[in-house]
Amino acid sequence: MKKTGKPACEICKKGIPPKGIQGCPADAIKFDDKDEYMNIKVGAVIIATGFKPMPKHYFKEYSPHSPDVITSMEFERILSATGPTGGELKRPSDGTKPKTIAMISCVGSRDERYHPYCSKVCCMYMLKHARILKEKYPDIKLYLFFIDVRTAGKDFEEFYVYTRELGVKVIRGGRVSAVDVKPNGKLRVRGFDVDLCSPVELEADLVVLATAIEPPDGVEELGSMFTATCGREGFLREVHTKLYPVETQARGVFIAGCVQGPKDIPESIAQARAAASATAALVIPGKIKFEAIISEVDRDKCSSCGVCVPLCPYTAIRIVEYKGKEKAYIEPALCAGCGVCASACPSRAIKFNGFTTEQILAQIDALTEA
Amino acid sequence: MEEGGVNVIDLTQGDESFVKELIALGADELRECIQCGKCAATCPMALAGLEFFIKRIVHAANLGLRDVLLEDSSVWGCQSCNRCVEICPMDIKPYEVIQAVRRAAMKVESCPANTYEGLRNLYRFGHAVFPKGFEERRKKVGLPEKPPTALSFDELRKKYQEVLKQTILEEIAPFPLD
Repeated sequence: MKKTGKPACEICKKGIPPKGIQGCPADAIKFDDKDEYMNIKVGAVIIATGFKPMPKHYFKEYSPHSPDVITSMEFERILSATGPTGGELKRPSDGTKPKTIAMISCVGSRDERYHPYCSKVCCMYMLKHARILKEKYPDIKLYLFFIDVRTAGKDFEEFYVYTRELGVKVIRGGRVSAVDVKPNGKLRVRGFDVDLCSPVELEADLVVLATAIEPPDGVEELGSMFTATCGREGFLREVHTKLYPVETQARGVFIAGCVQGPKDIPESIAQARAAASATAALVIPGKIKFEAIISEVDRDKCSSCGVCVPLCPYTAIRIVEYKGKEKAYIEPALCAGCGVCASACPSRAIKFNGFTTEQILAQIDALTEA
Repeated sequence: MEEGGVNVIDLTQGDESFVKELIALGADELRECIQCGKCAATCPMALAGLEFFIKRIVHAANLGLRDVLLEDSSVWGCQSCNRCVEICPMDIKPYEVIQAVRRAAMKVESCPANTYEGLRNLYRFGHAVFPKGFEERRKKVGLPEKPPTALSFDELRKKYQEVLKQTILEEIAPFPLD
């Protein structure tokens, strides 16, 4: 791509015609472009690879084989004008319009057998779906099954009350035990209603499961490339839940969004901006300050055994050419001062500043002085 | 729940027109209830063990469960203490919901027997609650036998009955209005 130095001609703003744009002055449009791998050197990385919605097949009790039992992500696609139904509300099985829809929350979330955590966004989006449907089709019957209705957030409680006012039925305490396919093709939903103090059931045309937010595939491998670890639930781990939500233990590696844990859009944006500003603060000045308590290789002593390289949890050690030989080199900006390499080096070639052998021996002498 | 029946409530029976009927009968803000439970926490009749205590009534009403509600007489147990109205954080006036359910119940004659007795006494004597032997008790303490209400004044009582005849009582009265 080359820049013409002219102000934007705005040809493509009017929409790229099917045969392509002729004569883009910047030659900016390549129709035969292909995927390629690129090597780029960066000073910082933000990992924001999102989440994966849990698939429905795990939940045998909800008849996942039925085409009319769908996940909320699939339901979003049905509602979308660019989706498989062109935005028309249709049952996947026979294309008819559903008259009664049951939406079930906490499918795979708040569940020791799958994910103990709450996926945070489902209560609100279920209400959003319900509101969209009820405003468009006032006669449609909607039943939302919750354990609790979690609508914390700016304007969310008001959204909830408004959705109730539209006539959407909210069933609490509320977990559904079974969804069965009846002989007539409809779905029987059996749950409990704590406000009615009774088991309840209903016949629905469509059942939407709000399945859990899961970490994306391959997040552990991706994290380990950057020495970012995953927590118990599989999301990338931040340094501190409250004070450092976007930093990882590796300097220069940040996380943002659902890869750090389930959250909604306002929060993802806030984290993205936090990570971006932390990155900018790190990279833009052109120089960085770091602790003096770091390890250094005396490259004349180094025997090139390479033992230290895989030991470093911060991938700070690499082998570089020195005086015609391959020697270990520790990147000072990445070294976190853990001392593992210094203690492992068989040639005693690594000096751990502040904790050298001589210094430690002197401490021991002082402690054991009679 | 009938003998040998299954204890499950079929929500598909819910009738939206019942919800609208109740709203028209005075339960304007019925749908805004978020089931927080404050009304039930303060209601003396919930404490007394009413099966369909106020919170449960409002929820059943919102679900349009006409039969479930009208088959239970709990709604007639409300003592009109107004605690629920004072405490409701969503300002839905739960007492008005009770009144709306009662109005709907009267239309289909779904009330306990003693409500009709009270209604009949109200019409005939101007007093709903009519303890026996009140004449003697009044004489004993030096009061005139009949209290100075519609009981003592025939003209007044007739006028009062005319007013009552112009209400829904005319349609649903289970006793003769003459």
